[in-house]
Amino acid sequence: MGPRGGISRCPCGRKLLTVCLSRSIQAAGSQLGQSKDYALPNASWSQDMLDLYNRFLDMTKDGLWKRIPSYNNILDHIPESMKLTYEKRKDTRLFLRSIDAEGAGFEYVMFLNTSEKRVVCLFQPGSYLEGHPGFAHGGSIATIIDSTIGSCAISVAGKVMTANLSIDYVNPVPLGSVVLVDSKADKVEGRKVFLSCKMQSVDGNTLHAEATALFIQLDATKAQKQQASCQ
Amino acid sequence: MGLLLWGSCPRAAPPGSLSPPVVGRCGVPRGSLLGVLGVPHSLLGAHRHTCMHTHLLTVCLSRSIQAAGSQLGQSKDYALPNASWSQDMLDLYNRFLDMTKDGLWKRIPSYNNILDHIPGKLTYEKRKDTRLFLRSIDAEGAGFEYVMFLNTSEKRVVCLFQPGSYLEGHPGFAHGGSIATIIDSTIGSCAISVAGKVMTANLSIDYVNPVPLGSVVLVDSKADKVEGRKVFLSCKMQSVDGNTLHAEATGKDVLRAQKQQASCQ
Repeated sequence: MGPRGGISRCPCGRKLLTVCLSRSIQAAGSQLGQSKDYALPNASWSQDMLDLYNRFLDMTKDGLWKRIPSYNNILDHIPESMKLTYEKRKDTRLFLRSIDAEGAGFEYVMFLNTSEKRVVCLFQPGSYLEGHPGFAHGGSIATIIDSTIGSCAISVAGKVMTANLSIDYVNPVPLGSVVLVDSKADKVEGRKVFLSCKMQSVDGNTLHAEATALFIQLDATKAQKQQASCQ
Repeated sequence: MGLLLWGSCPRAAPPGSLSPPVVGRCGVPRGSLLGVLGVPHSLLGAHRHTCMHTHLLTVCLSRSIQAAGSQLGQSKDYALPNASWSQDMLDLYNRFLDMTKDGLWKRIPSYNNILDHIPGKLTYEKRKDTRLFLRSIDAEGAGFEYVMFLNTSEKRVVCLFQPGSYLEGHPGFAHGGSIATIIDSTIGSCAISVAGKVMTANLSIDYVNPVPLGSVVLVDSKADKVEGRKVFLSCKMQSVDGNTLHAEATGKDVLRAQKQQASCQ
């Protein structure tokens, strides 16, 4: 079975085909004893989300972009060498993967472009993220922005923590809509990483939010980049 | 679960105004429970309570309130103690509950759908499948355990917050986004109490010390000034003992429509 999975010919439409393929990948992965990767299509993804996903997946072919796997426990994102310092608490859950019902919480997948110091997140907020009626809660927007920017900071500087996050909310995000969260590292000064981010609608016509952030590198002795898979 | 009953029969109270009784150190509730609850005699059980421990008693009482409320057809109020609350959380809760007695502070009820917080919700079609984000995690104690208290004269909202195990970011600590969420909600409740129907325009958070999962923090927000349709607020998140500053934030909220008296999240 190749990396994309999928063995049988699917008679149904493109949406089901993409979901079938990702289910095959999941099944193969769990047979190998791996944790479930949630950054793959599922039945709750709208056509917009799938189209965007396929567009970015195309861009991974030449190696410039890379899809970032996503698990429901933080420890699955940390390379083996670092895990030994943490005692795995089986009862914890990565916040963005805390809501069980498929499609009800954060449906998202991130793509990393190392040379551009850029992480893009495709995000479809589910019905359990409600703030004002019909729209995503400001905190859920802050959460996906913090995570996207954080993944970007990790790819640039290794183990980091958020020091400051400043978000301008421009237009509320309707539940079930699809947005693109585009973050990049602007500069690195010693242990400080300065980043910025924009959240836009799929068609690019609506700016939903803009943000800037400061992340601090935690382990100053590690000069080389960590090849940590990001959140 | 029963209640210790004494005192005269209460008058009926308007929906959403059930105030939980204050529990003393000895475990015995102060004052007339029925008067405070405002619930008809007939709806409550008449069993003698045998719990002596403050923790269990507080939880038992809130379960009785919940049960009485649901018998009246009301949505469940989550801003009440449950078995997942640590002793720190309960002590802090009781301290603030004491302060509600003279009317300066008021406990803010919290439901799992936004529409239950809005009076006159007929303008919205209630989608039964949506959930208020802070009440989206079902497992008791795993998500946001919190309760807010409002002081109108001081333009201040204080939130008692105990992050559960499903809010993890860095191993053992609450995710930065969950911190942003509770800060946004606390500041938002403060803005609503001052200006009515508002939306967050800006939120800026300085993360000073990470918050361990299961610890209890106090989120203290106040409205600093109002300029036309803009409300400027600030907020501090500190440990229960006041020794650790976890985060500081400023927020700007903007009036969406004409002023309404919305109950807060």
